[in-house]
Amino acid sequence: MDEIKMAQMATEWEGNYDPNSIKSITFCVTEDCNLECRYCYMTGKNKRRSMTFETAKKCVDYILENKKDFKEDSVIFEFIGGEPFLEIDLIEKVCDYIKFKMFKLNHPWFNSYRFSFSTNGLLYKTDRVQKFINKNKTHLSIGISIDGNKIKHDLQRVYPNGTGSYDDVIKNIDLWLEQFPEAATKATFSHDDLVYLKDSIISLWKKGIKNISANVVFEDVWEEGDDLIFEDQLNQLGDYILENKLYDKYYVRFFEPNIGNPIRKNELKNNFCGSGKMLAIDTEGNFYPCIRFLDFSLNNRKGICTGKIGDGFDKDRLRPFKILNCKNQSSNECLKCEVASGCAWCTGFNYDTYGTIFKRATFNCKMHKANVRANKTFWNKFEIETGKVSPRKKYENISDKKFLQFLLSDDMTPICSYNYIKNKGLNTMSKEIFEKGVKFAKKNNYEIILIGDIDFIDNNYYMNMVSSTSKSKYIDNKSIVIYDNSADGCCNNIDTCILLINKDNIKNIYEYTKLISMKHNRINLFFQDLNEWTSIQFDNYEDELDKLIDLTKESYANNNILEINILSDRINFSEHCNCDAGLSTITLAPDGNIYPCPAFYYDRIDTPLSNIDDALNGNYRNNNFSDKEGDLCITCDAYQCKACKYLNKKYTGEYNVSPKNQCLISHIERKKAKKLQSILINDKFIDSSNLITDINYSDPLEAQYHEKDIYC
Amino acid sequence: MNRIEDLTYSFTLTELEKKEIRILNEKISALYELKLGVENLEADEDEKKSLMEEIKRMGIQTDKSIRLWWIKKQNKYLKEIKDRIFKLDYKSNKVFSKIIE
Repeated sequence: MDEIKMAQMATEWEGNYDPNSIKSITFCVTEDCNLECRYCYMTGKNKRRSMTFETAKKCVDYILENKKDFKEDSVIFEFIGGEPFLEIDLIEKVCDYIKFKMFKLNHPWFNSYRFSFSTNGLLYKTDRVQKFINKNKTHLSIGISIDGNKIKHDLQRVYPNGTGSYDDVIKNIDLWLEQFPEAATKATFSHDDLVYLKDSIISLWKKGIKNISANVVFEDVWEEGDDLIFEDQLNQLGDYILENKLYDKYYVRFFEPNIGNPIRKNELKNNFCGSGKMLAIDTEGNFYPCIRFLDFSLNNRKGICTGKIGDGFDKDRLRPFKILNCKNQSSNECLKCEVASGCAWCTGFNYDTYGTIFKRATFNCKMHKANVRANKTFWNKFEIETGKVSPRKKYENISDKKFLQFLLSDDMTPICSYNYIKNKGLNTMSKEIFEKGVKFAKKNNYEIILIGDIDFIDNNYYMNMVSSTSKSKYIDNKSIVIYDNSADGCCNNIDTCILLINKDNIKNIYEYTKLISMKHNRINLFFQDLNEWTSIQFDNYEDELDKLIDLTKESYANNNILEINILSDRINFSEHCNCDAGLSTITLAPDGNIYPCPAFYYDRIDTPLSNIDDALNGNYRNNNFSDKEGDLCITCDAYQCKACKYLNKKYTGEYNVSPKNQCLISHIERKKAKKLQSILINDKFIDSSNLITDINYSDPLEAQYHEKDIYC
Repeated sequence: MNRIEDLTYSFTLTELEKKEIRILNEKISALYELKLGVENLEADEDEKKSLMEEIKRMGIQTDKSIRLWWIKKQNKYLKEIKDRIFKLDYKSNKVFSKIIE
């Protein structure tokens, strides 16, 4: 997985010690520039201000002599402008002095430092710049900004007379890549140039630049429909990458596989950028939290100066930056966003927009969401076309995912604890509803699951499949096959299957399971009419479970482990994994309505959640579904129990309270799982963690209220 | 210069070992690049001469440390003492080596 170049973040130098302990110190050596880029954030720069050697020397002395304020293991000295190479003589002198000073002080940074440059590249081939590069070549990192192809680059990166700079920069690229073969460029896209995105990225790769740290601007420039143009460009780029198998050769940030997941708890304390941890120094020797807080980088505010040469740091001014993190600068909407990871912001721009660093500007929200959709599409297609595991899997938690099931026709075999009602008529989903469903799923970050098969679906849809037939053209290793009260119709090479059992077939559970286990490694048993079970069915079920225990034990002995949900899940789970109908899984039915699950479509015991048109317009309600466990489940540790929402609602009137039969069946399974666990531990097939304890009740209601008589 | 893949023997370093040799190599290159900048310093000729001598002394010492370090790894991983060329692939921690004829 890690060998896929497209999945590897373009990492900067990581130091020779702890990669999380690198100080970044930026010298703004000049405000002068030989270009006047139209999107440059340094709107207040001018030609007059440049740093003197004396100022730089005083800064170097202060930094290297104050180890208590600069405790990091490694350092990056960055030189920025304007255009820094306009001051190459000063930079060379400063770098020579830094090296000398570190050596004389026996400073630990002498063994772990870099000089870094962001340049427009126009002066790259000059003798003075080349002399500097050759003199410091093992400690240099140089990024040249090229925005893409000529038309895109020349739209933004222009000389003061308005002409484009592409032809002059591109002359220097070969030498740059010869000297820094893994160098990266930053390509930034805005409203005007979005349509050139695909061609721009490809053009940069063709020039030999393998790593592109591309992004869209944070500013309030986006217009209606820009997100769709962006998504379309990324989809086209993704198809080009796949067609030409470029995923092993190149990287572009848009397809980084960790984009588009919820924020994890441990990430809330981090800041997205390093403002406050880094140090930026202006031409006069004043200190700032980063280059974006300098006066000339801000349009609406004065800069935030956090100290100056001679006086040292203003510790009070730095305090807000010390506590700045993802949580305290994000709105609730951002914190709860399902696709938050990889969403970029700039603390300096936030400050310029709102006057505080504790409020995020979110003008690029819809652009990030478009990026996420295209990113997911790309990696799903990658899986289909290469047969390799998507690197996104490494970053995804199953609990983060949402699924939209498409019930394609009325006569689909049930997939869970309900019955297909045969006298209902035969509706099939129209192409129009299907396409609206796909649009809704993509827009709202649902993964698609097809229940059944229909003619108009082509393979352009990436999806999971649940089918009762082995003939479906879409069945692949992501599919699930259903056996409806029989063991007939096996499909090979599919890991998981569903076995449906009605009350008349309980005595056949072992027989069916044994046959099916030759084709599948995991079998999920569901009971269709469990509220009609009487003592006969309960007794038969206990007998069948004993036989399944032997079958499972045998599978361990043969080193071909079989999982049967009703036994294995209680051993493997450490918490409930209840039915998620109406929460993370919803169902679009042939009538165009959205239901918690197919059972609610066949048996209308509650109103639909929405219809697809309303849902597309954002009017989606969830009928009081709650992700908290029901009060019964809180006291129960039959973790394998699904607590079916449909059966709950049908028989108790509440989604989160199970009927008695559900609880009794689950506790029989729990008892048998305990027996299986004990056998597997004795035979040393598993360790003794998560031991299932003894309990003295068969219905959690008894345990909770001690009113056994009332409920028997 | 031998290309990595031309070198006959190979072994893999631990992360800690890689860090140790990386820091020593970093020091050698830092000393070399410091030497190239001495002329540019605002100091008199005697000070520059003294600094150059200090750099040279430190360079010899670091170079010796590097050679000793490789001899230790040679003993650990190859079990034979001969003059060798070593190339470390930092990405894989794999060392490629060849006996100097």
